[in-house]
Amino acid sequence: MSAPSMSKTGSKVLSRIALALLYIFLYVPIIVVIVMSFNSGRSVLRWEGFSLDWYVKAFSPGPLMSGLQVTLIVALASTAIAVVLGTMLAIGVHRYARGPLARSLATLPAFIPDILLGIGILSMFGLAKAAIGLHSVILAHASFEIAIVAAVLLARLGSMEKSLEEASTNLGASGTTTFMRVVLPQLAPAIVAGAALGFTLSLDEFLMAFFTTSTNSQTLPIQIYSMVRFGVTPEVNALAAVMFVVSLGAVLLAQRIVMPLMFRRKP
Amino acid sequence: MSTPLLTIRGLQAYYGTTHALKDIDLDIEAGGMFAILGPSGSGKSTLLRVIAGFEQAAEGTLELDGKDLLSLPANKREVGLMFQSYALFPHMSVAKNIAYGLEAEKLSRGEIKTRVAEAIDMIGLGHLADRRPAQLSGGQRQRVALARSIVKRPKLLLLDEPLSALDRQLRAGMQSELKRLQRETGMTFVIVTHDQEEAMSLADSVALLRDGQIEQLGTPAELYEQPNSRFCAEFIGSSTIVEGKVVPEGVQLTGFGALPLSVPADSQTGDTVLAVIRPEQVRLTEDAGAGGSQLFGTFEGASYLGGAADAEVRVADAVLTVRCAAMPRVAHGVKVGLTLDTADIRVIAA
Repeated sequence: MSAPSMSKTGSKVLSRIALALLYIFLYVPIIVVIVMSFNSGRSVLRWEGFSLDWYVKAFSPGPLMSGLQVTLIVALASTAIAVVLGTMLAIGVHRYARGPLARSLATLPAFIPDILLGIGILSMFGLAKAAIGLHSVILAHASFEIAIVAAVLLARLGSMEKSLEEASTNLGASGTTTFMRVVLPQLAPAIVAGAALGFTLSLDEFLMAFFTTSTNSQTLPIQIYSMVRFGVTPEVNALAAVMFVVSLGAVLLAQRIVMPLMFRRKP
Repeated sequence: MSTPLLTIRGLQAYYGTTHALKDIDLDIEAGGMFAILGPSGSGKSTLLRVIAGFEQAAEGTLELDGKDLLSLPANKREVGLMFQSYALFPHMSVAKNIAYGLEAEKLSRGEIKTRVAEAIDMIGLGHLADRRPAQLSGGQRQRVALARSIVKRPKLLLLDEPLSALDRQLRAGMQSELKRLQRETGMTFVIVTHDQEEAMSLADSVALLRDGQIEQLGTPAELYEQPNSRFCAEFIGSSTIVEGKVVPEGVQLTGFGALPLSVPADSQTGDTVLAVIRPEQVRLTEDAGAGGSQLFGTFEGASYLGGAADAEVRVADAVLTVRCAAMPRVAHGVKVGLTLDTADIRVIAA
């Protein structure tokens, strides 16, 4: 084997090792959590044998379960709101907005620091002298999810052929029929992707929920936070492992739909 | 004469801030193929979109079969439109695409089924009824788009640049297919195009648009043989335009001498005119000394066309294109003889 090809193989091996290290860096903490969730002992550092006890404990009634319930309600409700309003926003901006400002403002809340949105919504409720609770968390989460749904949909609308709607009209369809039979089917994958992204982000959102919730409607991340202030308990590991699997599923689903959308050329 | 199918009177329209259509008057007879031809920016697309109902007219009337179109929304006009991009619904099969317009008319399931089957047969794609548009070739997509419009039996079918998206080999096939479909359905096809070859080969009549106005209206032969303006002469076919002055014996063309050409009726001796010389109106004699030639020029090269050749010959300041039966065997810069078909050369006012 000649020298240049040797060094080529060498650098190839090196980059593979670097890549592997990167993945280890990214995923070892998660793997530790998942592995330790099956530990039979209380220690988070020493393996004492396999057990599903912590899963049973995590899913029995208690602060974690009430937190999970609140989180699921918030995620589902805020995603539902975001899908409807985000779709309307994207179509409105796409059809009627002149210039880039309206477009940027429609998607900006997805990138504004959560703490800013959280404080903003809290002070708004304060100004209106309205009580905070489940509804204010839902609204807070919906506010950034609307922007996420709108961002994904605007990308899709930009690549959608305008003449499809005109063709439908020319063939005698009403505006409603055109929307239901032509526009919506074209947007459906993007709507599902936007909803999946929004749902996942809502699941583990901490800051905004922390600012905008009351003591009797604490989301799961807040419950976990208040528990681990006194040390990590293994049932948190168990719940975290479940949440990881759920989030991973949602992200994979979103990716399978979003990626082809973003990179597909116009037909 | 029967009443025309489409009557346009005093039509004005704006596209953004541009005055895209300036006082268009046009009659389109029922049956046959009509072409609206013009370069980009001539207003032809605006005209198409106004007829289809996607753009508003500022002034004027538009009547289809005696019925006012401008007061009808785009989905209530009996005007079909085949989009340049075909605009097939990507999430629907071929059959579903074709059925779409009939479903919008709320026809019975049985009738929709029969008519869709007929339409698919007519375009010869029966075996592809369940395919999605993405699985079809360009020519097949165009046929589906045609069938989708034709199945609704509109009185008028607008076709936006119907051949431009197809490659050369498919064009000839689609050209005869369009003519066949027009004959079989008896519908009126209106082709909107910037491509003069497309308009000339398909249409029975052509309206040439320039700057939002109709420059000339006529059969393809009339537009080619009797252009009324320099714009028409240059836009349709190839030609060399030579300036000259009206003299008692015809036209004194700069560098050509006096030629017995027929001049426009209203022109007087001394007026400046333009002669439109088409390649086939000039004959080349390779041996300049052979005699019988009207004038002489310098050979500047030729391009082979397959079965014919176009030679470039300089006469004074003008370079004439000369259609030859075979590639001329003349060296660059050699003097050649030329004879003009003076009876056929069109002279227009400058």
